[in-house]
Amino acid sequence: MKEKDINEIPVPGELEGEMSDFIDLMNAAERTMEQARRRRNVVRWSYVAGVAASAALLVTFLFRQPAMPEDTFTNPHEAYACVEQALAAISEKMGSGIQQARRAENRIDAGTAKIKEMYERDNLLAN
Amino acid sequence: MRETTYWLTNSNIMKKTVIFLFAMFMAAATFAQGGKELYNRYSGKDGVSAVYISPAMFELIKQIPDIEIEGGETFNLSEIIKTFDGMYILEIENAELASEVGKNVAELVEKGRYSLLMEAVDGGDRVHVYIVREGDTVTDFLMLASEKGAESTGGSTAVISISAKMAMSELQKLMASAMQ
Repeated sequence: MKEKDINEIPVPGELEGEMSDFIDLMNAAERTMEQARRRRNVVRWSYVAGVAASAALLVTFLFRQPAMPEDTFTNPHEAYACVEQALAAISEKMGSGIQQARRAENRIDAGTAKIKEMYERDNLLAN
Repeated sequence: MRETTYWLTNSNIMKKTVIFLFAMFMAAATFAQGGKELYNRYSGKDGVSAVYISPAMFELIKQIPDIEIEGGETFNLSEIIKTFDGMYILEIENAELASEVGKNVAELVEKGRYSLLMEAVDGGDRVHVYIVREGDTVTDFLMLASEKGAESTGGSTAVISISAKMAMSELQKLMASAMQ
């Protein structure tokens, strides 16, 4: 059918109006769908950005270096003497703890020996 | 409907992510604590003497041959010192700060990084020794020694923190020397 013939087909006035309204409606629906899709993309991107920012914060915190203090000594001999004193202090303090443990051990040994002695004496009397 | 489901799912993921990141943050905060932080917090304050020996200085110290300690006996410290990476010493004369540092150390222990190696109380003097172990290697050593009344009337509190890669056997040697 030629274009000329198509244009000559009589179209009822109501149908033309309905068709036009339908097309407008479809257009409006498409626009709404498009807007919703864009909004969802924005939400998705803001979520990704939020997670990325948090991850960046975490990485910064994990690898942050606390301020390095300044060396107290410039001379290694002085530093060595200080380390030695510190080790001597550690040794002394730990030594007092170990001595306490030894004293307690000796007391326990003495108690055990006394119990053993009593037990042996009782056995002798029974026999 | 689809939009609502999307939001619900998304908020759940968001919640889980926030909880995960918070947990990681807290873990990092725990991990970051140690002798260095204590040193940074208390050095320079009134009534606090502080000494820091850096890894670079330990490198220089390692070059020094063994020297004699007081009393004329030769004690080979070089083996143990070779394993040290840094040393932080605090001597606190301020009762309030002494109490605070004690709490900080207790917090470190509660968080599970340090474990108690030794505790001794002798006539009011208290000594706590903590270590951090990685297998058979001691990576951190922390000693908190408080004299009687350090947190109230006077007396001093000392904190010695050593970061090292010390074999447990070296620490045992130090303990053995303490017994002599």
